[in-house]
Amino acid sequence: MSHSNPVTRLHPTAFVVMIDRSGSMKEKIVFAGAEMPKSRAVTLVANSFIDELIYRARREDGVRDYYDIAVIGYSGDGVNSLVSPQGEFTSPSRLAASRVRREKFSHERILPSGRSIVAVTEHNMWIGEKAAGITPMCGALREAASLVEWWCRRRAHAASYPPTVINITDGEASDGSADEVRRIAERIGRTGTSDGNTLFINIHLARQEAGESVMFPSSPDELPDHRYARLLYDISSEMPESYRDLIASIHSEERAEAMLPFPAAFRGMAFNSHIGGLAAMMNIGSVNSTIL
Amino acid sequence: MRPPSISDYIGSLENPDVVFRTLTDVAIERDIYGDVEFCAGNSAAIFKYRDKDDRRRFLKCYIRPNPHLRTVYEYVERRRPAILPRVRLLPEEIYVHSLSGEAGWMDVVEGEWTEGTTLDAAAARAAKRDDKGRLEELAGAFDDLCRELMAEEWAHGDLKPENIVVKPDERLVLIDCDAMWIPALAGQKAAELGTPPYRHPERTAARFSKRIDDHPARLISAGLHALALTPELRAKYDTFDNLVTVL
Repeated sequence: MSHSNPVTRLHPTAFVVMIDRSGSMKEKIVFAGAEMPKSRAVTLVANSFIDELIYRARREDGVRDYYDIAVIGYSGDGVNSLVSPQGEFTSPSRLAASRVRREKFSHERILPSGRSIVAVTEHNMWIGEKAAGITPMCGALREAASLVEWWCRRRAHAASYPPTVINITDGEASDGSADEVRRIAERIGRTGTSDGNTLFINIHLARQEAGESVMFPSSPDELPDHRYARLLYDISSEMPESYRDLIASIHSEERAEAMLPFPAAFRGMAFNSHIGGLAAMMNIGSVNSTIL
Repeated sequence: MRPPSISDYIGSLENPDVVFRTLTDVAIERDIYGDVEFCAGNSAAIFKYRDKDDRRRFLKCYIRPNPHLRTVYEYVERRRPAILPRVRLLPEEIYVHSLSGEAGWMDVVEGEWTEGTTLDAAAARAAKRDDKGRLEELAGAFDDLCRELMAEEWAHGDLKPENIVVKPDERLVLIDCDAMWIPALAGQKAAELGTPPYRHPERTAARFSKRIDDHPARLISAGLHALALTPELRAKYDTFDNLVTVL
């Protein structure tokens, strides 16, 4: 079975997160009971994901380097590396050793008694909030492809759990056609290790006029009639069998029952997702690999 | 509710409005920066806390589902084997809010913190100091532990040096009962498969029985006795995650 090798310090895996920071991300949404730009909500979720990767690597003897981490932002100002100034991968121990700026986030919580409170949580700001200009997704995809190609070529990673690339966007590429997007996505999909191909997960965020939302579809028939949804379906990876139970857990009970027996495969994508769905999908992406 | 992330647990524990069903006076330990202290495993995060009598205890909060947990911990709490810690599962104990918007009650495993050094750390330290005598002591203590373990009707399921603590009185005890096999689980599939360097190459979820500790026990014993003879093996073959290289 592919995608089954354990993640160890000797055979680490890799995560590449691509974040759309184009002007459309200024759109206001409601997240955790508060109205805010989509860019702020995505930043909170992405920073939480980076935190989670560091937390999961923490043992009694310190933070272990079970994976390499890269974060790419793309906006009207171009394609930029967000957690490593040199544009390379960084590691959990390096991140944990750096004292990053923190921000407080006030949000509504409903306690079991039904009482509503305003909770204040502190979040590490590994990446800052931004929403400007066009969407150079092709440029970002090329950068992601270069990173995973380099990573997979290293002999030390030959038997590693394959990399996971997560693309978070609310729109289409403005620097290339759909065919160009497919071509570069195929480049990402061709990389991998002896344990399988790189997983490419695409999460499309809803806009105000959004229609039906789909997460981890098992066939194109589940998609709304929208060509961009079909493009994302085509370029996203088929999720390995080991993810099936986790994926089933994020669908509603009703849908989960209707899915029995489970479909043969799910695509790693979401269309018109709300921010809660983004957080759930990213959590799945970080949890499934078995870490020593 | 889907299993929360570690961040979700931290966000809930840090908040003054944290809700526990039965626990009271939980003072979670923090580091010098004021951040919650914890360490993680593959399926859970462990938070240390002080109770009202200032005794150090722990909360184990799960990020992956494990259908056997309640059965296993009910057994452990009832039987109280001498080589296992005093732990209990508190069902639906903590109310957790998730960044994804969900909230719900989650089980936790709670118990007395086992003071001591892991067998892994103790062996590494002795090997580094070329202390053959100490390594012999550890090898002997481990073999004694194995004799007690094999006499039990249950299996640990994730036997590895990091899950064995050398207590201040030099007794060895096991920690982390999540992967245990107990007679009540006969015929079922394992929820966890142990840790790869110590796991039998043919162990699968379906091969879940009292015998799952046999292979790691032999491996660890051989490794410790080998180090007692030749401590430099550790430095020569250290792959981070093995006691000595797996032969």
